[in-house]
Amino acid sequence: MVKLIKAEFKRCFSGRVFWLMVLFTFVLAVSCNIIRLIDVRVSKEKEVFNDSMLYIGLLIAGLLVVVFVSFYTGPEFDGGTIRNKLIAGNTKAEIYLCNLAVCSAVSVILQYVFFFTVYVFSNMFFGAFHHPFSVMIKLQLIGSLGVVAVTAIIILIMMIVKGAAVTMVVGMIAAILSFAMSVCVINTLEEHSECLFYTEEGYLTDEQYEVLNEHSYIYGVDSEECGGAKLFIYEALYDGLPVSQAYRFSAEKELPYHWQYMIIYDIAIIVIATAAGVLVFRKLNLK
Amino acid sequence: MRNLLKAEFSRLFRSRLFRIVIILDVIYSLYTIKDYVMIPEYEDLYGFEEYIWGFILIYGFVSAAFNSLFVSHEYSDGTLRNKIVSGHSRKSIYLTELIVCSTAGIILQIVYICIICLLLFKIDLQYIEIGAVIRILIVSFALNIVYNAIFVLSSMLIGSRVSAIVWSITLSMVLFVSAGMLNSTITSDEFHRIKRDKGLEYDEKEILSDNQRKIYTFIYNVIPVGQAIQLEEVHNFSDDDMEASELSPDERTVRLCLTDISVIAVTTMLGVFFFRKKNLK
Repeated sequence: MVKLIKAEFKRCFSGRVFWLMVLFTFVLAVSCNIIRLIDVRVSKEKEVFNDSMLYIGLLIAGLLVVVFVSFYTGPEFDGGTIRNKLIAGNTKAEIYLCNLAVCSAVSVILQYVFFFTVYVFSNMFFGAFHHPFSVMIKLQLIGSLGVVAVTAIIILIMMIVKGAAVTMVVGMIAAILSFAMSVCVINTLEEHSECLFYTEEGYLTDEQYEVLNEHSYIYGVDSEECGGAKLFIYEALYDGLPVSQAYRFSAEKELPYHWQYMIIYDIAIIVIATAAGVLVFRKLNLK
Repeated sequence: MRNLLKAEFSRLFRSRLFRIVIILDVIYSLYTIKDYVMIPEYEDLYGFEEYIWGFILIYGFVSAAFNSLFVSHEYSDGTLRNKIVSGHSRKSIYLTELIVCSTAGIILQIVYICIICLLLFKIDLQYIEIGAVIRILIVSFALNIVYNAIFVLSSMLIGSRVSAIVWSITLSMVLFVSAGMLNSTITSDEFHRIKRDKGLEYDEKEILSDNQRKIYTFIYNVIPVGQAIQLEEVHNFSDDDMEASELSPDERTVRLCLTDISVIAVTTMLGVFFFRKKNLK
């Protein structure tokens, strides 16, 4: 497996796709800063804190990963080179895990390329951030788990649909839908939280009210807006969807409430998607 | 060209992709009207008219994905070369693809509208503004063909199947985001102009210069997503609110349709021109 992983990384770093993706991410990060700078100049703002831009890389990670996985892993299926690896004595599980490792590494590299580019340029243009650097790094580390989770899901999709083109369409639609779903979940839970603030006295205990005041949210308490199974699902999506996590990172000055759950959900997604992917890949008929 | 059309239509109706898209279309349309049908007291001004708009807003993404998958299949399988070898001109191949993809789009839209018509069991016909419905339908069918013209162009000119999908979906997202940005700029400009005219406090920076306003409005009208967003404002297409806007509903409809026809003509001419020059490996 070590040989296979070495060969895969070599193929990745010597290929054009990886460097084009890095270049695209860098240009995107720089252009975001330049657009913001123009905006600031026009509106003559004086104090600018560009923290939310640091997490755009996490918001668009899904789209970047879909493009990379389709261009990198897709030709293996379409060109049949995957059979050569099997003939050379590697097991299907090893091939799958190597692919996942390479794609995850690339996704995380792209995430940090975006982060550091925005960090450097924002410092040059605007000077300061609200977030301390240690908090940014912690948030990016949690974000990296989310990015790996997204990669695991995209590779699973690739195994199921068996082609770069269909993976690209399904993956891109899934990325756009998860974006829309996150916005919908966050809006609903914000209304739900507001509803809890204005409930009659005695509905919430003093401790619960304190938590609500401190974090602007409390888990597991029904309101007129949302309750029961719906609330349970919405809260799971609120913590578990990588896009929702990225939104929440940009809104906080410290680690978000329930950040431990975010990690647990990300790890669970990675394990389940990888196990399912290996299983599907083992049964796959490679013509 | 007739044989080509027959063959392509046969490919479309046998295609699994087309069936999947129709199923997704049905699910989407049922989801759209779910709230209106399920909640007894749910009532809305222009209840029916507003739902027509729901399809064309997201059709950009659907058309990007469907056209690139359907058209670029010809490249990957090499059937494009076979068509040329059997004596068909590149122009007729291009136009056939455009006709077939547009027909697929119109079928999807008709399916959506048929399902939306379920609302008629709940809304009394006398509350429906027939004129507005017809105008919105005309513009949305024209927009449907505009989307197909744009994405057939990108799919026919990009040889690789995966690249065609990436560029088409990216283009649809760029169109969506830029239309949203233009919409907020134009709306904010109008809002602050009204405030200024009424002598209220306004923000000078939000008001565009006349030239800027003309350019922004022109681009907003040309971009299909911009037109789709305009369809949401049903009152602009209704005879009841004629005095509320500077253009009459008929003038607005004709203007939008003429823009659509121009976009279709330009993209198709460009597509045919570049497809003739393209080196088919």
